[in-house]
Amino acid sequence: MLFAAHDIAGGYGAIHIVRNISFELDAGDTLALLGRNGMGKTTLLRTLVGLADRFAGGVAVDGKPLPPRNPRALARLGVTFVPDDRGVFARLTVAENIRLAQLAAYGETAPDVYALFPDLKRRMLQPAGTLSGGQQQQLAIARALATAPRLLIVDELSQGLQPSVVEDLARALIEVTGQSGLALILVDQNPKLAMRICDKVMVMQRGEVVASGSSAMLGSDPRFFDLLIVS
Amino acid sequence: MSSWVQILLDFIWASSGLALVAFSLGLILGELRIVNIAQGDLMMVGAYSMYAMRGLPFLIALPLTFVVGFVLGLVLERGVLRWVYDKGFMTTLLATWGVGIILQQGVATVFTVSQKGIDPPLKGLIEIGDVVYPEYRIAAAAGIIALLTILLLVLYRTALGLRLRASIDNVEMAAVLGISPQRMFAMVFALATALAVLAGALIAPTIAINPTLGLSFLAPAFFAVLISKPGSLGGPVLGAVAVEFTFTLLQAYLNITVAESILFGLLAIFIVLKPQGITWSWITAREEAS
Repeated sequence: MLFAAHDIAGGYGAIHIVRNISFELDAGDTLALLGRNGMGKTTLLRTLVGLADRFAGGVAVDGKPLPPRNPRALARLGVTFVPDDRGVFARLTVAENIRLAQLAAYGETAPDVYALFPDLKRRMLQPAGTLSGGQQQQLAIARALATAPRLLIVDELSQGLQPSVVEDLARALIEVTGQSGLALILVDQNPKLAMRICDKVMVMQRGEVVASGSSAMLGSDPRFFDLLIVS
Repeated sequence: MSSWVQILLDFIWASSGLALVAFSLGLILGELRIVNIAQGDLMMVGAYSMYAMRGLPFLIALPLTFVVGFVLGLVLERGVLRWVYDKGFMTTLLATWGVGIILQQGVATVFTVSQKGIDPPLKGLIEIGDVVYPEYRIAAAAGIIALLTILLLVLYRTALGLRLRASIDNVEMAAVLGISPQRMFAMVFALATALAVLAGALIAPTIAINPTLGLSFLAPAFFAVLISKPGSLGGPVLGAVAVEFTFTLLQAYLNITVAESILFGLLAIFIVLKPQGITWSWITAREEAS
């Protein structure tokens, strides 16, 4: 088992936002985390990677339990994260952002990120803060992939991006996860996009998982999309 | 002509020392988001360290002083600052102020408040035209310029520098990429402390050493940092050059009190008009090229 989360409860300070969340991922598994805004998806991801408080439960990589609030521990085991604000180093150039990831690489066989995103190669010397939103998301994904991770966690892949950029990003993720055994946890507001990229789905409501299964099975259930509609 | 050579040499000497202090202040502000009020007092510690080691050869005492500063920085970061990082701006400000007071009182207790002095290791004079200038000041300024060049090269050309700049830019994402914020904070504070102590050590042979000597360097160093863009590492160095250039010009025509008043007035107006500081174009160009 590559990654396991058991009975996770998390939030910020005294505020508990997610609870009782358990799931496991093997190498190559791809999981879409869906739900309406404010249901705790981002908090769950941040709790898993150690950027929010974990009040209960455990996270383990390769069966090894990990301390809360310690993103470095996950980085050392090949788990990386793209936050919803993309988290690019704005004052560093594109090349420096990628170089930094290569310095922190877990594995030895990272994909050629400049081949995946040729636009970044043309902008290698440009400060990341001056890129457009779509280019910053490409850089954030490229930087994460340059760490040669075993598990990539992406929060809001398509948020605020034009459809052609989203399509390029989706194609890159499908290509990399299909070829390398990279596991993926993806949060996105577009369920069809997320389920096209991921084989498994979990739906969250009010901080808890209310439905889970394969993308094909849940996608064909007429009640599934009701869970995602703002009521 | 000779007066302009004198002004130029005075400017190089004063701006090099200020640049080192401003660089160290900017490093702490950029990485730790802390305004270190004690930075001037750390210079004072450097001066007293040199006084305490005045029996040793200067070139042995100087690196020892740097080591003293680095260890002091580690102790202050681990013992004081790490407990107040998440307590807000005012708390960190008061904490560093408190550290400064403790350093002043500690030094006054050990060495008394009477002024001290040390001899420069180079006592000769250099003649440039009609101007006669102390050898030591020229050698020390050259040493500081070389040190700042090396530090900027490390920051902009090495993996360690890349990690440090990433940590300054976005400490959370740096942690996601395996860079320890705690380790980086400790290293940056220790290095910045050591640089301030070193600056004090280098200036020591040219001033009267007393427990409050750091105060006169603190305000211009802060202005040097404030007029550069937040988070910039080379900016405070150029900020120091700009501050000292203005001050040197004013001082050439006015008495020191009036010159200081006008300088700080001009800087205050500048910061009100341009609160985000100057984007020094050559640094931006270098960042893009690296």
